[in-house]
Amino acid sequence: MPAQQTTPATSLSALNSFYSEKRAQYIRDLPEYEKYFPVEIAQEESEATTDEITNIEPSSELTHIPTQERQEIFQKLQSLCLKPPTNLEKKEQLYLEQQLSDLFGFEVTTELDEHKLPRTFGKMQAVPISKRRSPFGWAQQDSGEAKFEVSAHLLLLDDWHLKYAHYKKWYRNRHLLIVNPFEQRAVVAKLTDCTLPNPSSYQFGGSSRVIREGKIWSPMSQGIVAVFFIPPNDSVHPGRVNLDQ
Amino acid sequence: MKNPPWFSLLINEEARAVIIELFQSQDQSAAINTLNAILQNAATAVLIQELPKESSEFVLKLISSNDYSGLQKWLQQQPEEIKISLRERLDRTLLELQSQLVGR
Repeated sequence: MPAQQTTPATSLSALNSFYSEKRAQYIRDLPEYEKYFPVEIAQEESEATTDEITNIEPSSELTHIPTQERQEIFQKLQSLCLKPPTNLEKKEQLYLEQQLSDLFGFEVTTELDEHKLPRTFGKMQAVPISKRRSPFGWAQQDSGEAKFEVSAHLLLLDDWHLKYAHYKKWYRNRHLLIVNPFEQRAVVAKLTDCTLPNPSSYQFGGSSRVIREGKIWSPMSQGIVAVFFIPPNDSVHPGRVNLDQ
Repeated sequence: MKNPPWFSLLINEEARAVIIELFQSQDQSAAINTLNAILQNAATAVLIQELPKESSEFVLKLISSNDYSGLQKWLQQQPEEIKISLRERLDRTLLELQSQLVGR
């Protein structure tokens, strides 16, 4: 192969695009083997030292949750994630929120100030972190926590076309909790984009750090996650939630 | 230290190095990881498509469990045909990738 060079240097997003296209092709050709083509694109931002990872320590309340109960919560989340998309009954929703708030030690909700996400359970794909600006103008401005970013296709909200100006402002940089119940991992990330390239197949997008720290790439998870709002809370910052006891 | 990919002996190292050189030095570590993931998927597709079902199921389990030594041992025991298929697919993937990257 001739040694061809490009100048300036090639961007990682081109490589990630090739990965995604190829993976999609394999899944199309071999749909029953999808789990063997994990979504992981391990961007060794370990370049990023471990100091940069915001490990959110669970509150002491976590220690009061018996292991069995904790397992049950994750199992319940797993079964909800695998069900066809449905809205939870209000009672079930409130009970789940309470269980998760107790588990993580901070408040977690599916609805905040009468705002919802288009979906609570869905599939997350890796999206290039270099995609800094969405068509709706959510330019990334604060780079400090930029590695924990997620996107959701807010255009699917019923009244987006009527209230998009308000929604753009309200949803921007909201703190969300992404739970991977199959690996018992959770990550706090900021909502930094309101569109997705393929919203019928993937309901959420995650930066490489979110995908990696949440083990969302794993064959067990296959990208399936549950996503909740975190009401404004000064003690919760983007990063992986440390659930190790 | 991380193990190299189980199929590393089948990779055209020169072609791989050419692709990595396309990236700036601070991006090369991430590029190596993504490239390995691309090649891993290519190799997995070959195993699914070309091995008898029971053999592919066995090796896919090894891949899923990241059993590096099991995969090395398995590869050594395989007939030359499957190694040739793997080598060809990996080569083709590298060529295709390089042409896309330099074409941008």
